[in-house]
Amino acid sequence: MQLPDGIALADLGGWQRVTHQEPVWGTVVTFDVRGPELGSAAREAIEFAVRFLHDVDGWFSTYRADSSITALRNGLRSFEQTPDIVQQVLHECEAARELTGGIFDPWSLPGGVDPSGFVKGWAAELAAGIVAGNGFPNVNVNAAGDVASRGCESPNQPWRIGIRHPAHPDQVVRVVTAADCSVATSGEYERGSHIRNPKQPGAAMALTSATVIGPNGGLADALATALVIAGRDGVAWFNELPDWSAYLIAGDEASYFGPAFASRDSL
Amino acid sequence: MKLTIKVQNGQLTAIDYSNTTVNDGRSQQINLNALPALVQEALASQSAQVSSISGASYTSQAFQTALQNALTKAGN
Repeated sequence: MQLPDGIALADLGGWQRVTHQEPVWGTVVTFDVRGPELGSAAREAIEFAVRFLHDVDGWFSTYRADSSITALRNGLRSFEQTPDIVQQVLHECEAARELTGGIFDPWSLPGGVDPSGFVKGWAAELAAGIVAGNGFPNVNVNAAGDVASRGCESPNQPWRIGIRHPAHPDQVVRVVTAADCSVATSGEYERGSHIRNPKQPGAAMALTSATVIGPNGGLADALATALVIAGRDGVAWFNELPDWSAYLIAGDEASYFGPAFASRDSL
Repeated sequence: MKLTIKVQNGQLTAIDYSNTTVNDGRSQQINLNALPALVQEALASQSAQVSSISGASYTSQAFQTALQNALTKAGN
């Protein structure tokens, strides 16, 4: 597939690039590692992170009969009997639920607790950290649209992430510079109606798309979904998150706030 | 909820939350900039240089035609 007119891969500035696409979780996770000299060790670093992604599937996939989360949902295991990492994610989900006044609520879904709305962004951030921790500090992990970045895409240029146009798959509406942070987007334009408002099940979504930019991938993922449900009312949650930014799309209207949009130069 | 929108030079607009029922006074700390037409933003991002695309989650099938797939393969 060719890139459409108007969108180009950012210049590497003389750096090398190693990419990998991993089918996992019913989607594809993309790795992009940059640096002056990469070699085969970069592929090994990616391989460690790929193993983690498949471990995440074993912990959190609600589609797998043998996952930790399925055992918890079915009552075969208690919360205390689930792996520590699952408990930790559920604790972080509780904090996200509190922050959003119950709009993000993995416990409100039919079938039992489902932290999927947190896990993808959380796992992308940790996967990027694994690659960085194995000697490759300039890495971008894209988990089906939830992006985690470390370092730079080219010398002195932090990663530039395009926000997809909800109505036009081949257009970006905005480019944000993401230095060591996560960019998560939620909306129903890709997979149809699948987001549930715990306060009003069956209610229409307030936004077409919400993108959240911040230092915590799981929370970014959760807040993006919660903003789609709550719309501009959810902006109040960010009073406690001064480092965070968001880009909201309702129909053909866009609005945004936060330090990622402090300058029009980010276009 | 009610919003007060301020247009500045026909482009950036500030949204004032002070009269809303759902937010407390502190929410005025956040200055929400609005652009009335998304198409303006899309046009402004023409000839965009990017390394990755953030969007709503796609399935592995939809990934085949996704911008992210093309971006990963570009230059390789």
